[in-house]
Amino acid sequence: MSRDRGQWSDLPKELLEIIAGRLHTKTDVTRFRSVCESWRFSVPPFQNRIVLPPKVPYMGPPHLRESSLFLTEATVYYLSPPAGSIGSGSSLSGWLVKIKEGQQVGQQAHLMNPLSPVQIRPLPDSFPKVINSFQFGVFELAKSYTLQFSNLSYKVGLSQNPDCPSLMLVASGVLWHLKLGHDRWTAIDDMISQLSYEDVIPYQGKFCAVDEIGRTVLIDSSLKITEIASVNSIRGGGGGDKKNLVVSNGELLLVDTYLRGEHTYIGGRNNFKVKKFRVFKLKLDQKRWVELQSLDDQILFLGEDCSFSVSAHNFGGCKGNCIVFTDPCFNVFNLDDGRLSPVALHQEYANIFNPPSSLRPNPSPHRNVARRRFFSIW
Amino acid sequence: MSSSSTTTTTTRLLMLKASDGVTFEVEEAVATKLGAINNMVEEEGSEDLICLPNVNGKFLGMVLEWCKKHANNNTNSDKGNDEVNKWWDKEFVMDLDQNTLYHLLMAADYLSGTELVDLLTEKVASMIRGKKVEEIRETFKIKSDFLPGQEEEIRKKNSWAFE
Repeated sequence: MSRDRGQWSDLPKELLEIIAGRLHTKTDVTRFRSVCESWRFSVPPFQNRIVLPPKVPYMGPPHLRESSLFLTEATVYYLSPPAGSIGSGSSLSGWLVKIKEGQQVGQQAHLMNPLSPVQIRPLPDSFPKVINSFQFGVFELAKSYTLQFSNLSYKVGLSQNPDCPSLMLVASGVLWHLKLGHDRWTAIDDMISQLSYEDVIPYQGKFCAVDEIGRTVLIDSSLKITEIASVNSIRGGGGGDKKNLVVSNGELLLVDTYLRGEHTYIGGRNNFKVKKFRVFKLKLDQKRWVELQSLDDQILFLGEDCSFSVSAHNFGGCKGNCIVFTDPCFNVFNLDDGRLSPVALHQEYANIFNPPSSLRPNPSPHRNVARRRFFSIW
Repeated sequence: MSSSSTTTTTTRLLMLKASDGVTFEVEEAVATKLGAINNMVEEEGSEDLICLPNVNGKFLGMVLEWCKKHANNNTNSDKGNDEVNKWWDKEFVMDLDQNTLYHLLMAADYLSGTELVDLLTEKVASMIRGKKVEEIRETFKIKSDFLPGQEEEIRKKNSWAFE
């Protein structure tokens, strides 16, 4: 028996290095290094490939020039249920949280709204003050980057292309690009499209941007623009009001949001009502978006600061083929029947936005109160 | 299906002998997918029996099975091979227990089967991703050898402290 004890601890260093090199998140590398001495000393602590500057050069109207622009990074985690919690209803599901972590060890973390760049403040009484991430299985689902400017925040795409780490964002329909370390933003001069851009995300080492009628372009590090979906690219017309790009299962998707009534602007955030969504997949050879009838077992989370996709398999019993979005309450759009309803009506979705009962203090007598209070935040 | 008989020219056979004496007769084209064997063949030329004192017959057999599949797929039609290989790789690693995985990985590394090392280290990584430290230790039967204070320190560093 003793021959087998710890054989994996004695794996040659070069193999441990290869294995650790296949772990791409801070959480996974940290855990790898916490298993035993030999694993710990086989690889250095995780380091972001790109170090983000907290402040970036100014862009915007000259009279506000003294305002600083702050760049915020937050991580969306799925914390899988603690072991041994089986059998008590909601604790079967995991927990979807977005956390803005301190830059240094020991610095405070901030809880963010999972679907918008808003910090939850103050934290509800029911919220644990310290969460030991070792208690959970932790999956890093997405990173959100936002640029805070007075009371506005912009979704930012970060390209981790090591040759040219850079940021891109859409402000008033114009694409802006900033090479990290440079002191000037560049407006992307797209001679073809006179239309407003609506979304930009990093995609395959480049940026991918979509305009208001669905024309989609790739922009490389030299700012060369390549059209990947042309002006008339959406079959049946790109009739929606807002277009977002999401990568789901490695595939580029376009989500077209149809709104009801007028846009109103409340508290610095768009307050519109969503009527429905249509989802399209890129047919690259035809430069066309083709409508998808189903997302199969994928669930799209459409956030204001970042969108991501997960497989419903192992995701707290949530049903696939749905889009979860905020307007500003959390809602679920079911692509099966085109119905839209508040998250609160879907127990399994409601559960993933709440801390598991094992983390809530005094769960028994005040449990329902605590749950409601916490939930009212979203 | 099997009409590619035009390629049944003289393929040289090699004899590989594992640490426990088990021998395998393998086509040269298959065995030379392993860097170590390729080197031996190139350096020692006419040697037909190759002794591999660091690999036991069970795992050598599995490594060769993988090589054979990949060699076959690569000689058949060119398109779609990647898909077939990917599918077969998935099957190959699907139900490996940690002990077999360990010995296969060591064998693949010793034999310089780079692609197989890639496949197996990816499998190991997939068994680590998202897992708790305790679960990783359990999966790979590893006992923590940190000092108690050190373990506590590591734990503390991995907490989120909210305001």
